[in-house]
Amino acid sequence: MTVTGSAAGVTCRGVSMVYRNARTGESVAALGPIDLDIHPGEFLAIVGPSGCGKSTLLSVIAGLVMPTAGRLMLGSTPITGPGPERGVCFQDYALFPWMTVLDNIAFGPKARGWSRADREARARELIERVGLVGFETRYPHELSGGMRQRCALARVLANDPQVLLMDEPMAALDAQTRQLMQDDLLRVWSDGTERKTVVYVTHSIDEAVYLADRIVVMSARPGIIRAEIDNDFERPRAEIRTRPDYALRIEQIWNLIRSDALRALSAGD
Amino acid sequence: MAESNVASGQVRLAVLRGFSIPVVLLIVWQWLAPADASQTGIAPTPLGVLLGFWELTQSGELPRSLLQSLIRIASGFTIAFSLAVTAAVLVWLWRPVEYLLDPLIETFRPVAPIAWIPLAILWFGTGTWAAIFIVGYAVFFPSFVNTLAGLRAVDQRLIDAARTLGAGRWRIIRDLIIPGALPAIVLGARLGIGVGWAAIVAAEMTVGSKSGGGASGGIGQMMFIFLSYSLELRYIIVGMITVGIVALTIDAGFRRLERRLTPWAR
Amino acid sequence: MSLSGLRAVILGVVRYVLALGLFVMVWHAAALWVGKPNTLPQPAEVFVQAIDLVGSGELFGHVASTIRRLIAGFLIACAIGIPVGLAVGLSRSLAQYVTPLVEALRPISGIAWIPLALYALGVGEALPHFIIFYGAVFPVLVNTAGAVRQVDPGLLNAALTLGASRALIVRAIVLPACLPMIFVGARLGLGVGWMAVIASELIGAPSGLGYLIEWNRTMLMSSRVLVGVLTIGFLGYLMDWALRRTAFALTPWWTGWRQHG
Repeated sequence: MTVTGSAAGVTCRGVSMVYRNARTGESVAALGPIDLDIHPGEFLAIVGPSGCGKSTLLSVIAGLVMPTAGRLMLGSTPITGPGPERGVCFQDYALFPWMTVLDNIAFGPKARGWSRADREARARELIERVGLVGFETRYPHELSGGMRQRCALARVLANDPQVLLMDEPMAALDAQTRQLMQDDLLRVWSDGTERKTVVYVTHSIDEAVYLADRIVVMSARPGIIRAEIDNDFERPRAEIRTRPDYALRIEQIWNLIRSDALRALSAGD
Repeated sequence: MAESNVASGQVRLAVLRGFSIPVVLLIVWQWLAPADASQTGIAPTPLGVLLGFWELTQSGELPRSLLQSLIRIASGFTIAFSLAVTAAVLVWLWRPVEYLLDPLIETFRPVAPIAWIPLAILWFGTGTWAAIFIVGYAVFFPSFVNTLAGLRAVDQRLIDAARTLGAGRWRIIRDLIIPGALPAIVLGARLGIGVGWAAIVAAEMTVGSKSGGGASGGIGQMMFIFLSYSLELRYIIVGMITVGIVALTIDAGFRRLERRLTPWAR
Repeated sequence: MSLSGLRAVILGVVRYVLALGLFVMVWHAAALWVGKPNTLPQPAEVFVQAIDLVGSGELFGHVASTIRRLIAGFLIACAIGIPVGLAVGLSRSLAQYVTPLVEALRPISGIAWIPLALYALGVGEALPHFIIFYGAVFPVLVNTAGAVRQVDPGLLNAALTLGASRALIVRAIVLPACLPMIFVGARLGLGVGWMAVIASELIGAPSGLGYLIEWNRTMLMSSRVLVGVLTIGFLGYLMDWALRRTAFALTPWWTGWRQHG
C-alpha cells in the first residue's frame, strides 16, 4: 500500500463495467470503456446524464467494485480494493449513527492503529479545519445536512488520503446551504500544505464549473468520455458566478449533454 | 452456460446443507427413543410418528380434533377481527372515542390471552365458547393496533391531493383510505391469527387437563389426553407436528392474501 | 419538570381516570345485573381481594416465582439466540445449515411442547424454563440474524474506504448497527415468554401467577382470579416498558422508533 499523504494521480485504462442479468442471461453494458488520466493535485469534476455510470466509475476507482475489464492505477500501484489512501465522501454521508462527531472522524486513524491520544488530536484538528468546533460530542442525527457533510469530509481527510473521491456529496442539501458548502470545500481543499487530488461526481453543471480545474463530460449509458474540458478560471472562485464566460462554459457543457439527457428522460430513468 | 451451472450448483449445495442437520437429528432420534413411552409398545421414533399419523387419521381422531380447533379459530377470528376493525375505525374517526377507548385497550393489551383461560372457563364452561373467547381476545389486539396504524398511515397529503381533485368523502374512503390501509389491516389479521392459533392450543390443553377427557375436543385436548389418560407419546408428537403445519399453512395463506390484495406494496 | 410538562402529565392521568372509571362503572352495573358473584365479581370485591392478597404477601410470592422463571428462561434464550443469530447473519454457509431447522421448529409453538415436556421433565422448575426458552429463542434469533443482514451496506463501504479490517468492522459497525433490532427481538421474545410461563404454570406448576389464577378458579374465587389476571397484565406492561426504555437509552440514534414503538 502506498504511503498516504502526498497527492497522487489515477490512471484508468480500458475500464468498463458490464452487468449480466443472472436470470435472463442478458448483458447490459453500464460503463466504458474509459481511458482517463487524473493528474495529481487536480480538482476533476465528472458530469453526465442520469445513468451514464459516473457513480459506478467512482466506485471502481474507490475499489468498492471490480470492473469487468480494464486496469486502474493509483500513481504506480494497481488498485485492487478499497483503502484509506482513496477516501470517499458518499452522497448520504454514511456517518456512523452511534458514534459522535469526534469518534466518526477519529475512525480512520483508529482503523489504522493510532493511539487514542493521537487520533483524538487529529480529529480535533480536522474539526477545527472544517468548522465544527463545539459539536464534537453530538451525534449525526442531531446535525443539520450541512454539518453532516462537513463531518463526512473531515472523516475522510483524517486519513490524509492521496485522492478524495466525492459522489454527489451536496445533492441532499438545499440550494443555499449548497453554495456555502461549495466555498467551504474549496477552502478546506486549498488551505492544506498541498492540494489533494479530487474526483468530484455531480449532476450539476454549474457546480462542476464553479469547483473544478478540469471537467470530464460523459455520454449516456454505456458511459464513455465525450469530452475533457479545461476549466482554468483563476482561484479563488468566489466572484466568477456573474461572469459571462462562466455562463458560456456551462452552456457549452450542457449542449454536449442535452440530447443524452433528453433520451434519459424519455427512457424513464 | 458455465455461469448458470455454477449458480445451480450453489443452490444444490445450500439444499444439501439445509438437510444435513435435520437428517442427522432424525437418525439419532430414531435410534434413541425408548419403547416404553406408550401403551401400544411402539416407540415414539420418527417412523413411529409416521405410523401414528396414519393410525390417528384412520380412527378419525386427528381429523375430528383438528376440525374442531379450526372451526373455533375461524369463528373467534371472524368475530374478533370485525370488532377490532370497527373499533379502529371508530377510534380513528372520532376523537372522543379515541380519548376514552385507547387507555382501556392499552390497559388490557399486555395481558396474555392465556391468562384469561381460567376466567373464560368460569364464564363459559369448558366448551367451545371459552376457546372462542380466548382466540377472539388474542386476535383482537394485533388486528386493532395494525388497522389503526394503517388508517393513520394514509398520507394526509394524498388525501389533500384527492380533495383538490374534487373527490367527495365517500370516494376518498373507498379509493384512498381502504386501499391505503389494507396492507396494514391484513398484516394485523395475520399476526392476530398467529397468536390466536397458539392461544387456542393452549386453551384446549388447559381445558383438556381439567375436564377429564370430556367432549371439549380440539387438538390441544387431544394431545393432553394422550399424556394423562392413555400414554402414547407418538400421538402427542403427531399433534405437535399438526399444530406446526397448521400454523405454517395459515401464515402462508395470509401472506399470499396480503400479496394478492395489495400488489402495489413492496 | 416544566409547567407544560406537568400539565401534560396531569391531563394524561385525568384521561386514564375517566376512561377506566367509566369502564369500572359499566363493569359494576354488569356485575349487579348478572348477579353471580362467583362468575362476575363486583369491582369493589376485586379491590378488597387485591388488598388481601398483597397484604398477606401471597401475591408477592407468586409474582416472585413467575418473574424468576421468566427471567431465567428469557436470559437463556438471549444467551443462545443472540450469538447464534449473529453467527447465522454473518456466515452464509452457517445460515444454510441452520435455517431449515429453525423454520421447521418455529411454527410449533412452545406451548405445543408442554405435554411432551411434562412427560420428560415432570412437574417442576425445569418445565417452565424450557417452555419459556423455546418460545423466546426464536424471535430473538430470527430478529438478530435479520438485523445483521440489514446493516446498511453504505456504512460498511465507508468503513472499508477508511481502512478498517474485517474484525473492526464487525466490532464497531455491525454490532452497534444490530442492537436496535436485537432489542425488538428481545421484546417479542419476552412477550412470547409471558405466554409460555403462564401456560406452563396453568398446566403444570405448583406456584406462580398461572397457578394462582387456576387454583382460585377451582375455588370459584373469581375476584381473586381477576386480581391475578390484572397483575399479569400490569407486570407484562412494566417489563416491556423497561425494555423499551433501555433500548431507547442505548440506541437513541435509531430511526425505527416510530415503527416499532
